[in-house]
Amino acid sequence: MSFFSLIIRSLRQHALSTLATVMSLALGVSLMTAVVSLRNQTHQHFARIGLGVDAVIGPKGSPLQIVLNAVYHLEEMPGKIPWTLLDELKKQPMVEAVIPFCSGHSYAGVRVNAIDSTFFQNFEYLPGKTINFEPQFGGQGHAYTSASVNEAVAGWEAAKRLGIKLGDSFNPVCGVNFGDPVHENDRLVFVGILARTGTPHDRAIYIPLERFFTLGGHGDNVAKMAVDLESREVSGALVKIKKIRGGVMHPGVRDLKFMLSQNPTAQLVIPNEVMPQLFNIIGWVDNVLLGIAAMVVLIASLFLFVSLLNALRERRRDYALLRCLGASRRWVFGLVLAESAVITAIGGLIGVGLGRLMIYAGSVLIQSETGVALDPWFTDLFDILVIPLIVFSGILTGLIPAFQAYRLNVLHNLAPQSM
Amino acid sequence: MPSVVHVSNCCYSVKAPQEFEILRVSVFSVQDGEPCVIFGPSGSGKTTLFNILAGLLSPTQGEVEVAGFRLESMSESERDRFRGQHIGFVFQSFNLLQGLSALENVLIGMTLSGTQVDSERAKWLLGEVGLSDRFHHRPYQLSIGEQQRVAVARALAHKPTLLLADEPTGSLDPKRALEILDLILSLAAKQNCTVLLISHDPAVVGRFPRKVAIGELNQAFTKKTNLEGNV
Repeated sequence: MSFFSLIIRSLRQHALSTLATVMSLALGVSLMTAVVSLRNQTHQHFARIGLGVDAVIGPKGSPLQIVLNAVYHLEEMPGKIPWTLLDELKKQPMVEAVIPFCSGHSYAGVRVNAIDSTFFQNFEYLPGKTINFEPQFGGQGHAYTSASVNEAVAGWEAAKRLGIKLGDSFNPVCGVNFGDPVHENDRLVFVGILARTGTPHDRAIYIPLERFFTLGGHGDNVAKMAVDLESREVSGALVKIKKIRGGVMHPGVRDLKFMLSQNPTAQLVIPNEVMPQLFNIIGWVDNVLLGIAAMVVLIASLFLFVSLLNALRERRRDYALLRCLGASRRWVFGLVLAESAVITAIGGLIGVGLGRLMIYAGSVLIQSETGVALDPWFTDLFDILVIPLIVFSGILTGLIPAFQAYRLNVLHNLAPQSM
Repeated sequence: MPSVVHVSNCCYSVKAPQEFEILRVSVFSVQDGEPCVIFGPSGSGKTTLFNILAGLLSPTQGEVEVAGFRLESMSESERDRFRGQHIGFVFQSFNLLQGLSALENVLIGMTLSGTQVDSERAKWLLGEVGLSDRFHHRPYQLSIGEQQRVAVARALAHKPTLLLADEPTGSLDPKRALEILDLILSLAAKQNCTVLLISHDPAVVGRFPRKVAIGELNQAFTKKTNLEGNV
């Protein structure tokens, strides 16, 4: 009959209140771990990694809108930029590659991005990792080339969502909203499915940039852009900046940004600078969620406190008897504290497990909405500290009931009761 | 024969608000292996003496020696340890832990005494009190008499020197009361444990070779009774 088995028997004796306390603690802990993990992971993905896009050149307008369109395949571009500007950009010493694109098309709810074929050669979605078609990561087929006419490539997520197979064909929709017209006479065939990148690039369909200008129904001006580069306009371009030591972007990017800010039609946007602004805007949401989770934990702690006090009231006779049988005051004090610690430890462990389930559910949702793949097993300092913290809070909560048990008058509580 | 209990010039008084003497015993001894009963009316100081001998109360003055330990000079934690190791308790209201089975209630006595937890011995004791088929029953699944049998087994589980029983038959019918009493006396004798019992039941008192009337022992009670008689 060990100390620990006595605790377990005691918790079993008050199974209902123990279960209620454990589950309320678990709920609070799961909310906290899920909110913290999702926040940290999304910040890391959206802001620090930058999804491989060093910079985006786009029209004048909201920098955030440009990043959301160029990188996340959300929103719409606020205008166009001239092709000639891209030619000038390519000549800049700090620029390694420029990958022009035209957005604004879709297919079955998935964005269709007309992008230069160099996207498949030059673009690194993570340092050292280029877009590829490796079968072990779900890739199939091959990229289109600059000479391709009716070929298309699907991102991994887009292919999965729409059930796209190599050889399937589709007609792009001119627009990104429900009811927009379909390019009835332009049928493209999927020749490749990208290997999974875990980034928003997985959730788009890519067609050759040149094909954008030859899609029917765009009018003569756009058709003319297919051959007349002087008049050609594009939505924007992904810009790869040369790196100096340590993988840091060439400092000349600042000058380039300033130079383009003087341009009446275009601007250079650096996603790593813009995304933190987004988090500043929406940061209050996860602060509120974190606050709610903290309140749940606090309420659960109060619940624990009340249930410990109630248990103490019910078990005064038991504690007095234990004292009578030889248990010291400190032993009884430790018993109550240990019960509190065990309840919080169980609640914390279940909470961490539930939190992982929440993160998994959240990661599925975030991936389907943004293409960013989050890891349900992502562990940071908070995850490591949460169990010791919650047990510590349980010990603090148990201090007053434990002290009452410590001060218990043995004789008063052992007095015969009416049978 | 050595004394397992020796009390001399022991006094216990409370301040409520003036000092009021509840117990005054000049000399009282119990020989090792000699079952002894203290009897007397309610309010005569029996339970106070019981609590002092158990180390649950510290005497205001005087000497109290139990199983070779001078209780009046021990700290509270020392008395806790002494109680766990040398005293077995049987109470009127059984005082079993409701969350534990019969077997676990016996084992907890061993755990708290610091002796080796011997589940075979616990089962043997439960067998001796006639509960060999009720090891895993919780107190609420046992009758009143069965609960008191568990309490007897628990009291002897850690091989105490002295078994203190405060009205152990008070909640039982006369037939069961005598059964339990015989059980206590026979099991304690087998364990070389001295029984000191408190009772006001003449049938119980009659079973003991040594009977001590609290009126003869507690001078404070005698004084109070005399004063009341004079009034």
